[in-house]
Amino acid sequence: MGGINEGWEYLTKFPQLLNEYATFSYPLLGVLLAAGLLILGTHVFKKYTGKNGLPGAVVVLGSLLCFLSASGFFLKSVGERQAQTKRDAFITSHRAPLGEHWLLIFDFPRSAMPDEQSREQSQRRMKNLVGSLSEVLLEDLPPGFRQPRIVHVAIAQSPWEQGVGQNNFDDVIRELNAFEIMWGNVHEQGDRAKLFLGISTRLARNLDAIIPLRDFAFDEDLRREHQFGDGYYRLLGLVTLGISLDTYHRAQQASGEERKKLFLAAMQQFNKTREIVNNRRDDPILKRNLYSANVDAMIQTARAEVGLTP
Amino acid sequence: MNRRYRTAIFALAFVMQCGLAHAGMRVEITDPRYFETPHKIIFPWAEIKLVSFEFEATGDDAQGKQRAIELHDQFLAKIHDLQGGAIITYVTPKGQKISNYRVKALDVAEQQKAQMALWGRIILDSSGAALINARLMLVTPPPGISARYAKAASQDEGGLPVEVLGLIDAPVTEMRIDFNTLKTDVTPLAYFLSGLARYYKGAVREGNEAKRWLQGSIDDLNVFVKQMSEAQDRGALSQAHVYLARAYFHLANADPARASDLLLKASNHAKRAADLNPYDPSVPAVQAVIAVKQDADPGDARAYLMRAAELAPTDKNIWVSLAVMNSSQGKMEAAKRQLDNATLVQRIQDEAPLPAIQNLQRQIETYQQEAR
Repeated sequence: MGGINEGWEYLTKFPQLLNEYATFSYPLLGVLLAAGLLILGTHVFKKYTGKNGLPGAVVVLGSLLCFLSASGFFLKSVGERQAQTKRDAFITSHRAPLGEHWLLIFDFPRSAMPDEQSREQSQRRMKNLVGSLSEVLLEDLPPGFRQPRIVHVAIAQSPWEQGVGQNNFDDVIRELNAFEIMWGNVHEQGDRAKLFLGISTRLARNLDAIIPLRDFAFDEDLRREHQFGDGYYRLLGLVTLGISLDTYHRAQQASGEERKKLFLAAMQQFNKTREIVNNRRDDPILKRNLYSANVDAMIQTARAEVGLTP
Repeated sequence: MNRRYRTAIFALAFVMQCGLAHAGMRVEITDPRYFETPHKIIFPWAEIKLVSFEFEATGDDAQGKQRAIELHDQFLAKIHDLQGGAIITYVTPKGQKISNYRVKALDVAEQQKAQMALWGRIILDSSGAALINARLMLVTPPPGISARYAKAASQDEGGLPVEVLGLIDAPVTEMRIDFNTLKTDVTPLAYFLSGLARYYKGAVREGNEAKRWLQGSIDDLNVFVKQMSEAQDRGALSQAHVYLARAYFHLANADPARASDLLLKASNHAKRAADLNPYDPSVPAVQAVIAVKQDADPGDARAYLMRAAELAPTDKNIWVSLAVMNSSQGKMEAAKRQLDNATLVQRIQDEAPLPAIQNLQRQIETYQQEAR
């Protein structure tokens, strides 16, 4: 009975051992495999030359090392392929088609939430936020701007489940072909969060690529800030600025009549953006970006590109 | 009434004085599909009609209905003497929301042959006061302002003096006016709407009748300007000043004896509008027309038009006005450049040719040939 129990115990530990090996790095697996092969090779060589082979325990150890490291290689590559497939599937389903403007809003990383209840609460808030922002853009985006699609991204199902931040936001934008993304960080107490808006560095040039939006408490009505408060102007101003920058960027890539058409549209969009958020033209973030000399310079360049002479 | 949808329409307030003086109707809609089918035009005789909708509120809050009804009543009271003025306000019954009706304000206003459509959102702040964001769409904009003139100009190439016939035009191009954010009281909004309704009426009339409506428009818009602070909403305040400038301009045409004084007032309001919103292209265009009418230095009008062209490069009308200004100053080459700009914008945008461009081009070429 004792032998059977021991055997059974080994069998249950074996998958754990395989899993553990699958987490090793490829160089380490390579070293372990080489060690196993060396042991088996030495044993076979000794037998071949008529000498005594290595002791049975050493041969078993070598065989195990070979098996486990080879399995580790296999499981690791299968795992990586699966992760890549999942990542590709996510990116395919969340990637904006060419020519479309998607504003992606990532919900808060689950690790930032102390318990399940606060996770649910924050996700509910995030859904409200998405609804509130969509309403503003649907209603108040001026003519001449193509309506962006607001997409709520469940971060836990994304390849960036650890969170989006200043180190990876540009990669996220590039991978998903978004023109802007929004993400949030939860304060330590778990009752407040801070939102950030990221514009692709490809478009932002000398403007701020990461723009901090206002802190908000989870129990506060987000509509009040984003539809009636200062948040309204920052949202509208920065989304329309992002679209204008995208038009400008596309104009630079185009040629012929299309180039002129896009530069003319970009000029019009920059000016319209300044007009619609004029009520908060003294807001430090809008002043530093939308009303900056850099945008003036882009308007002048666009004018010259179109060929409008004063 | 469409029986199929059993939509209940209650004329809760139907005020009629002096035959078809002014009128208002509150339409309570109970069928969510109400706006999906065409309906009879209410007040088909109305000259200036406003279609408004209850303000969209969050949850079951009834403030949106209440404020819309207040606005309806206040506007109706203010237009009591405005023959041909009308307002239709759509509200939903208790417990229902206008957002459930998938209503498109502009479509309904067009169907009702209205000149203006108003809708908005409402929310309560932490102290329980209502915050209202109202959106006004001009379905059919009122006339803007323009100045005709004939000037003898000597050409910059030193040719013979030529007589330039010109029209500097500043039509109403801002089709939407946003009011952000009214606190609790809809009174300022009612004054703005009444002022605008009177402007609609006065701007297409002449003589004493024009004077009457334009003066009424100025009075109402002045109240709005006094009640709104710059910190609250520069954009809407700027629009009120632009309409005041336009109203004074038309009043100057209707009352030549006081023209100089009235044009000065128009100019002051336009300047205030430009300070409040330096990014609205319609403001410098209005300033240019006023400057021409005041017979000010042509350089001033030219500078205003240049600013307008900077802000609205796709507006061909501004380029043409600029060409007219340049040709009136004998700057034929500059005028040709501006017409080239207008043609370029027209070509890039695949738009139909503007006859004014070709006419002025021919005129300039004739002058230049004669000069040679």
